[in-house]
Amino acid sequence: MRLGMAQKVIPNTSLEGIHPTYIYKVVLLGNTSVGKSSLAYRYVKNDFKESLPTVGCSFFTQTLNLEVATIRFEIWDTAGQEKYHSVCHLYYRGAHAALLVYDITNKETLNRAKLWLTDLEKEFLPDEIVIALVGNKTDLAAEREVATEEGEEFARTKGLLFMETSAKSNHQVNDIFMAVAQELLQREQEKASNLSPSRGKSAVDLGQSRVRTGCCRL
Amino acid sequence: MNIKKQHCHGCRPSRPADESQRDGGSYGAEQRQALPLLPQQFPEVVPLNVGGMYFTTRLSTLRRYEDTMLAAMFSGRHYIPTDAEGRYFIDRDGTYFGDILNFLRSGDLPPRERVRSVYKEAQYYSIGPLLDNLEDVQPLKGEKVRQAFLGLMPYYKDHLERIIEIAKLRAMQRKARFAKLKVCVFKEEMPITPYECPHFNSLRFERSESETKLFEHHCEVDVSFGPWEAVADVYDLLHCIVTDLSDRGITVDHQCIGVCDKHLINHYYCKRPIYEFKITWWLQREEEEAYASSQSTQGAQSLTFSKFEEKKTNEKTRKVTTVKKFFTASSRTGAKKVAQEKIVKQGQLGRERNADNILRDLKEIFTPSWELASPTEEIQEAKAPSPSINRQASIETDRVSKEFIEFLKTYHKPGQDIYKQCKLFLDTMNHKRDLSIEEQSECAQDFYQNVAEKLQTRWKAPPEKVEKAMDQIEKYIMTRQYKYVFCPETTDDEKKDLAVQKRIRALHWVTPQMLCVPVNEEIPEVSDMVVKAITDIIEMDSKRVPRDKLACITKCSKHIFNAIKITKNEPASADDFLPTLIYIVLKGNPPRLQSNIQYITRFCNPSRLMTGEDGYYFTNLCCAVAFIEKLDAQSLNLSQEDFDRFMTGQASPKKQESDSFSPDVCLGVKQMYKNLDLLSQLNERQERIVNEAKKLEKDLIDWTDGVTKEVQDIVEKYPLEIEPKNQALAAIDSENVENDKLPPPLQPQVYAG
Repeated sequence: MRLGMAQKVIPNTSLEGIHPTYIYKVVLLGNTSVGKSSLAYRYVKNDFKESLPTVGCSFFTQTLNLEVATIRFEIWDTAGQEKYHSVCHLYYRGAHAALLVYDITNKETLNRAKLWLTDLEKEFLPDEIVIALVGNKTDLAAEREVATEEGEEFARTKGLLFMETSAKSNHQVNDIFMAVAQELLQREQEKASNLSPSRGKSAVDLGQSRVRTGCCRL
Repeated sequence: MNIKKQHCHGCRPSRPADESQRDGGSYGAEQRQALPLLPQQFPEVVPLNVGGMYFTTRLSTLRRYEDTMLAAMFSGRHYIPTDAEGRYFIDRDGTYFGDILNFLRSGDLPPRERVRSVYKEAQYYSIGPLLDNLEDVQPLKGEKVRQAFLGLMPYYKDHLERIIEIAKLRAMQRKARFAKLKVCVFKEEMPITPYECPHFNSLRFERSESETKLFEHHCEVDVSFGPWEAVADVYDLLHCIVTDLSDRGITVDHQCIGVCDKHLINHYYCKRPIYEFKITWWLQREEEEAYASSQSTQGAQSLTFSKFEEKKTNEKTRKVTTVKKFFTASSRTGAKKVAQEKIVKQGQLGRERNADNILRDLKEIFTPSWELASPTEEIQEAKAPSPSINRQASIETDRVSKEFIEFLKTYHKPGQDIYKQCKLFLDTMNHKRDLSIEEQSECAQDFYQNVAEKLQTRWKAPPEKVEKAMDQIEKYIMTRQYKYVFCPETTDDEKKDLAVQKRIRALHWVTPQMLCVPVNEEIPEVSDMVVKAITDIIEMDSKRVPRDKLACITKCSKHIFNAIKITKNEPASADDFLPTLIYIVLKGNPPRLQSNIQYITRFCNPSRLMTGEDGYYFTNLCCAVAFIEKLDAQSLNLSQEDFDRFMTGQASPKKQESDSFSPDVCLGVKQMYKNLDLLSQLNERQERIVNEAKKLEKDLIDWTDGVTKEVQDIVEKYPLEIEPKNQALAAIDSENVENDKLPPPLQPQVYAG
């Protein structure tokens, strides 16, 4: 199998060139109890109640109609148990984005997220994949073990998108996926116009997401 | 070997034509005189006529070994007739007599390819030393070894007869040229359930009598070989069958058509491999040639290396690898030999067909592609590589081709183009068989990409239509390519398959609890789903198109999700799904797992594999297999010692106490415990009812007693006094004083009139 072959671009013939459709594979990584599935479930459920998978809760698709393009997310949930860590690399083959989810009430889960990040770094070049660090369960603020700043700081040093969410109270769930979508589109445009490497742009996005996080904390 | 060969050439029996002139006159007169003498006197040099072939040898040569027929014949005790020329006549085919003479002369043995025939002749002339010598060289020595193996098969010979008999009857019944039989060949008894393990050092399983009965079945085949305890494997036996049949002049082709899917118990299936034997009773010209060449290749087993070299240069490069393999010792030689034969057949046919191909190509230039694409041509094409190709497969190929053409017709002009492209691709692939499988995969992927791009850009097809077309193209191409690229000999896929299979079998003791599988098989619906999932994953192997295989995985996954959902009452997440899938794979032990994964990875349309639901489930299956391969004590929450003991079969995990059954306990036992529970409950209830009834009875008795007593009390209190009746009436009247004032009662009077 060839990884580069995964065609993510299917030009929409009716509006060719103007309104392309992109298919992006997003993997969810994180410990068992951090709420990966709930996050995806909440994201998909909010917009399209009818397209909800009836039995499974581990593979979702979500279509976003943006101004510049149509994006179809394929969200792959992964098994978070530690014993499956060694086989996880099979999941993120050919992924375009990864969400590293941790539980803000459990410090250990952030450490595991860091482990996954090193795995991803081994597999991908920095501009091949968009990685977002997501601190979930802000509804349990009373039991918080990981300060927002800690996650934020870590994300900044590694050049990741960052956001704190709550799948339960639907806090910033849409936003994080939207941020990923924007980042992916940005990179797509850069690739198309062959501009400077995406590092710089990534920083811009980082800035935006930080601002948003800030707002919400207030 | 070479020396012997030269000898052999030297001693070739000469034809009467060249010998008669030289020998004819000289001996003639002399011998006629010797005729009436008894006991017969023989000259020092004896002229012989063996069935019309002339030989000359010394008398001492013929008498070399006592107790042989020749020594006895020429001892002088017997009369031997002479022919017109005065040569001593032996009424037997003389083809191999020269070899006999050579042995008597110098002890030389015939070349390998003549050994069998000479052996027969030596038996006729009862030349013991030659027989002994021949038995000690190839191929007879090998034959002895082979017979030692076949001796393990109690009814081997009978089975062969049976195969021939059935094939004859079937062909006659149908007035057909060939007949097909299903033959099951299995080396060992497989464990029926993953929880069974064989007795140490044997193929038998610990099974209770009732279980044995339950698992014992006869696959629905005509003949069944096995099991046997030997190193030789299924391929070796198949080779034996084919050689023995063709020794009898029977043209036979065989092909594995799958495994026996006979349902045994719960979700356990028989899974013994089934081969289809096609026996052709009379051959068409093409086949006759192929058969002749295959016969000569069988002879080639005994050919010298130089002859092989000749053959090798005759054939195309790709065959070189096979020839090489032919010489490397391997347990799979049987299979390879068969493959070798096939290839040689193709080679021989190749030249024949070349002319046909040119003709066809010419035709292609002048006729529109649609006409060429008629089904008959398709069949022809499907048959081309080997006339004896599996019929069932070719029927399917044919059907797929027809469907494909029908489908393309809806695409009009691009459809024709697509068809041409596919044809071109298949042709190229045919020329690229000698490339590594990775390179072939690369070609296929390139092809998919090119066609998809063309569909999008040149023919402006909408995405859904592209996807549909790509599916059809994949189906068409891969049905044809399957037999070449699935588990190809150039890879170690088969070895990996066996390794995984063995590994899964070794892990038979793993329970759902160890894997933390969130599925409760005690719920009937759940166990139903589990069975369905296992069936789906096993079914994957029977599909030929990668996408159909993917569909099986997806179906299996859906059933797993259902099982989890019913158990947990909420949709399953990936954390639940992967362990359950692993459990299903462990329980099902699907056949040729690695081959299937590799095949899908190499030849599936990549856009399906990297994205979409199918791709997701496929990735999960890959994870499951990778996990099973790496599985260790830690991942099952066991101590290393326990894990080792379970793996080596020294112990098996303790069954849990009766209050919480592990799901591997026999369903019957579980049902029994349930019934016992129910019975004890009923018993309790019955007792309660009896008690109540007794109480009620007592109450009733008490009540009657009470009533009686009360009545008596009342009776006692108010005793009944009965007064005389008249007195009472008089009293009534006496009280009525007005009575006296009444007129007297009317008297009846009689009137005359």
